[in-house]
Amino acid sequence: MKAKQRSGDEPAQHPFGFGALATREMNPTAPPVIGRPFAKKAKESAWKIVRLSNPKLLLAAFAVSAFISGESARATMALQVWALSGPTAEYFASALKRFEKQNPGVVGKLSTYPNEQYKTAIQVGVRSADPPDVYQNWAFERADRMVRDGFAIDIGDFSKELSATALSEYSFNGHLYGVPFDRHGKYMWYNVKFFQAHHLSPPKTFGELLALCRQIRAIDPQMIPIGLGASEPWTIDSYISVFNQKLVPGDVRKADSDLTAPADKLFTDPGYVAALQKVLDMQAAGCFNDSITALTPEATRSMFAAGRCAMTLCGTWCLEVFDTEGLKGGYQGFHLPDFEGQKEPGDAHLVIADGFQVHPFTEKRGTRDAAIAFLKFILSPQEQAEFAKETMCLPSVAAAADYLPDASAAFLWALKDTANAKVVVAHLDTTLDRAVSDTYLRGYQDLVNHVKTPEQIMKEVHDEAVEIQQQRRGPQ
Amino acid sequence: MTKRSRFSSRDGDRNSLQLSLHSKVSGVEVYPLPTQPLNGHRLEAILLPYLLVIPALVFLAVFMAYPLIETVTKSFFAYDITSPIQTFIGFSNYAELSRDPVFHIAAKNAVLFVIFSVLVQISIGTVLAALLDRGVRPRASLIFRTIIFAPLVLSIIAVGLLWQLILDPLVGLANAIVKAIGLHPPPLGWLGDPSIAIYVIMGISFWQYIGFVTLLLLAGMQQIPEDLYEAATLDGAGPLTCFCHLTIPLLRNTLIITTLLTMIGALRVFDFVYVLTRGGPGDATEVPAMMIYREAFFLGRMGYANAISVLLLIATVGLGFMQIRFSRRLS
Repeated sequence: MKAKQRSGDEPAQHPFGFGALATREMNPTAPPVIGRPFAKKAKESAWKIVRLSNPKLLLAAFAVSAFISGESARATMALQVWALSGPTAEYFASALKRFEKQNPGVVGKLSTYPNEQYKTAIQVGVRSADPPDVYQNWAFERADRMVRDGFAIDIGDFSKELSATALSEYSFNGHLYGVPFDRHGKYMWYNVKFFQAHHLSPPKTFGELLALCRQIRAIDPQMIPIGLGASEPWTIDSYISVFNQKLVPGDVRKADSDLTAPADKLFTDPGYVAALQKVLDMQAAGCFNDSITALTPEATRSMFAAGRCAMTLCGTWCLEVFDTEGLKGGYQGFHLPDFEGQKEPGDAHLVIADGFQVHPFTEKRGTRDAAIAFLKFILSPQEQAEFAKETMCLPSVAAAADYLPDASAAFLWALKDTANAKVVVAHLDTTLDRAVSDTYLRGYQDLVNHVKTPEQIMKEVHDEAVEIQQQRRGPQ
Repeated sequence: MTKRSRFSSRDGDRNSLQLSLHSKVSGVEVYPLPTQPLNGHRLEAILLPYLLVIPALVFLAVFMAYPLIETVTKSFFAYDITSPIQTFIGFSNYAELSRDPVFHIAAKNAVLFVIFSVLVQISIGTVLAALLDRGVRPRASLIFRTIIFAPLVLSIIAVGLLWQLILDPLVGLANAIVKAIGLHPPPLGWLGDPSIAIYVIMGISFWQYIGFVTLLLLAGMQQIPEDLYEAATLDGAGPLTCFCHLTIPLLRNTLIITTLLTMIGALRVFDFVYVLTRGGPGDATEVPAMMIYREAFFLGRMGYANAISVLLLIATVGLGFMQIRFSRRLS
């Protein structure tokens, strides 16, 4: 075929019809003309298609595509769930699949983050343009903060699923803004074999606990009565949180934690200093190991499992470690004993509640009902039992025990004891303002290292609390 | 012979006419640059350099200039990471910093870190580099280099966890060695004792980074011509004299750069503190970068964290500036 003769001014044509876009490549002397001819050609082609097509056919195609896209939108209503990574995340991934099967209109999207990262990620995530529908969050102050900042909604009635004590952990101003999913209890675990061999029994009072420490040291100087690793200060907080409940009146603690007490009274109750002093009393009685602040909490668990310490205060997540590292069920737990002549309610139970809240954006997205349905789903006894099996964590629904025939005696005891707890104590870092609790926690390490006295620590906590109170109230 | 004019005219036809007349007089053929109105070619020639620079400028603006301006601006505000409310408080964050005992500890630790980093890393690094360069045989040098540089390729998290195990008060190797030589390990633990924890962290940091310092200095030493050493040896200079009077003076620029990098690295230290102690026990190992992290992402006090960042930036830039001045004066 003979090529068409071109004049010098005529733009070269690309063999595949890209018009003048390709002309500079073929003829470098041609002026650069970018884009327009191609766009023009594309436009012409599009109109050509429209002109040639049957309008009825086009309308039908449009209707079909609209229907299909509408159907697919309905079929893929995404429920975004944010949770901590680790074994619990694996459970949530499988739970979401089961939930999807039960609710064909919903597709779960799980995002997980490691513990430390999550604390930052969730704060940023709830403010983003695409926030999670359901997000994992710790109870008490952290949950309340989300409520205050407008990132959690009232989720209605869950009294059929959870006990009143469990619900109180996410209830603020008479409304429920979340549900505890797993509730770890913290117990003083003791080595049954060692206790039986030396005719020891769990103490009923704090004085008995100190005597028990001395007794164990006398029996075996190499045996550490209570393993304590406080390279992370929250392990000491487990003691102080319970001691504060026992020694400081409830209304005073409430006013201090809410920062509603008068500025000169904040954290000045002598009970706070006494609580810190009790830890020093335990140290003086030889209860703890040396190098407390150099030892990790994990090392303490291993010490207990290996029989190097007779007792350790640990959460119910430690049971798996005890079992796998040697004790195999040879342990039992008791609550930290009350003080002699204690006025505050006794037999307090330290609980770490971890649960979920629902973001207000679900109302815009239309996923609110699905989010609440998901919470109801994971709080069913069967799902709670499944969670316990997969993670060895303590579920918050006591009825889950009925579906756990193979669980250890200690696990089932802790599950029922935590679920039925009447006097619940939370860690201070979950009830106090972050800055106040940070000052408190950093003081613990100085306390056991004898760098600061209880009075000095409480003075620092008081000063920080006053500052935060002033900031919250704003300029007068 | 054809010669292209060095002079270009963009002033229109008159200049181009003058040039063409001049070319006739001198007998040299001159090609003036095109003087026609801005067409595609010419526009492209003018804009192309700018277009090529734009991505880098955008990158710098987005990732350097904007965060810098934002950090400085926000240091005058009080706001939480989650709260939309930002309150202008002037220099209050800086005033609070001046009173904050934790910041005083952090600043003191940073200064200690800088001083010890320079003293230990540069001095040991120089000696090691000299040994690798001239003190050992090439085959042995390869083995020693591998040993010295090995910690550098390890992840800081892995190094931190490894040293945590070594320093563990119950099962750690450090206590076993100390006991084996008849000494008593610190009763509060290597990382649990507030009076020594920061020095232990420094030691671990030096263990990892000394290889980097050695690498830089060794590269500098290998640039020194061999014939200088030969001449010095012929003049009767021993190895120590060569090192003091030849290697060190000729290594001056590398030493300055290495010192600057070491000082800035020490000032910004975060990773080792985060992995090993998180600023504890108490506030004993607090450093500015750790404080920034804690204030911003744990306590949510973004304005306060920004103020610390600004001070850290001033200190880092100041160090760099001093170093450059010092380097120029020496030159």
